[in-house]
Amino acid sequence: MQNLTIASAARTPEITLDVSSLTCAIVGESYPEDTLKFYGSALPVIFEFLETKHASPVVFIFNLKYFNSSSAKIIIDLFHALESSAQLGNTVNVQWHYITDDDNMKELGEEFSEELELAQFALVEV
Amino acid sequence: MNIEKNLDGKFYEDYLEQLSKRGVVFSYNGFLNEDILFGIGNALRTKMLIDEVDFKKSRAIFSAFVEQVQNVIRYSAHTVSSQALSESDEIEHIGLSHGHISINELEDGSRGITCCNLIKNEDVARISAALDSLKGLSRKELSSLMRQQLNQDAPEGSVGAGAGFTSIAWEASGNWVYEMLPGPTNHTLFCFKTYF
Repeated sequence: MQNLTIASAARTPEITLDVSSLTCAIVGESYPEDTLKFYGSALPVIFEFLETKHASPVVFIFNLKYFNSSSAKIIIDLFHALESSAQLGNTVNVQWHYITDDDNMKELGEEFSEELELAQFALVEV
Repeated sequence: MNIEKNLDGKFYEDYLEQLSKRGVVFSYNGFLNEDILFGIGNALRTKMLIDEVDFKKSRAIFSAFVEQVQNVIRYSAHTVSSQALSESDEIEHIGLSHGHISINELEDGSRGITCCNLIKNEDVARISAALDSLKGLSRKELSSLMRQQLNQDAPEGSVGAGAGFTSIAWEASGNWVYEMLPGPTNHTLFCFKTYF
């Protein structure tokens, strides 16, 4: 398994995967010109990480100020991978960060969390 | 008309007056691409920052703007492209889509985002039906539908997630309208507006 570091850019988020702390984070904004191209290199690495059995809890942080509907499709796919990881026996903690008073972003997190059963989901106000 | 000599200032005066009457603060008409989206989007955000629009509202407005303009870029029936340039090694796709964007602000602080583009007549019924089916849905119904659409494969002819209109309707809390107007041969002018 490999670590992952993709720096943020004007329209794309920072993506990090730290295998030693079992933490993956997507931070910033996401409305890439070509969504599949942007996430294309990161997703296989993240999926491999989630498909592996880990002795300690896995933490996945979504800290997005804004994302478009094409990126939402990627996020839903990640939620499915997180749930599969939990079904594999991993303890999976999903953190959905939202800015105080941004009810829409909070509601989206709540809506997406309905995809999860075994994976733990927490809203984090920032 | 001689394009070099006739400035025709009266035309621009009338045009600008029309825009001003409607409170238009941003207006773009013509061929556009993702760079135009990014540029106008940044200026829109800066304007809302200066006007001290709260974050929740400005994020919703920006979100609707991005989805609406991406719809024009992806689905306008009026496009130009170069196959020859696209096949060269360095450039992946050379193309532009024609459409219109205007953003207006009224004295009461309300804002509107309007996009217009040509669509083929054969697509009018499908797009109208998709939009009409969103009318009257509650926010919770819209977000559930959006999740359902994101869980499906993108519909045929769609290059996005297939949840664009639902996402716009949700962000605008049902405050959107559209019109289909007769266009040139076999085409219809599709106008879509959100307001906040």
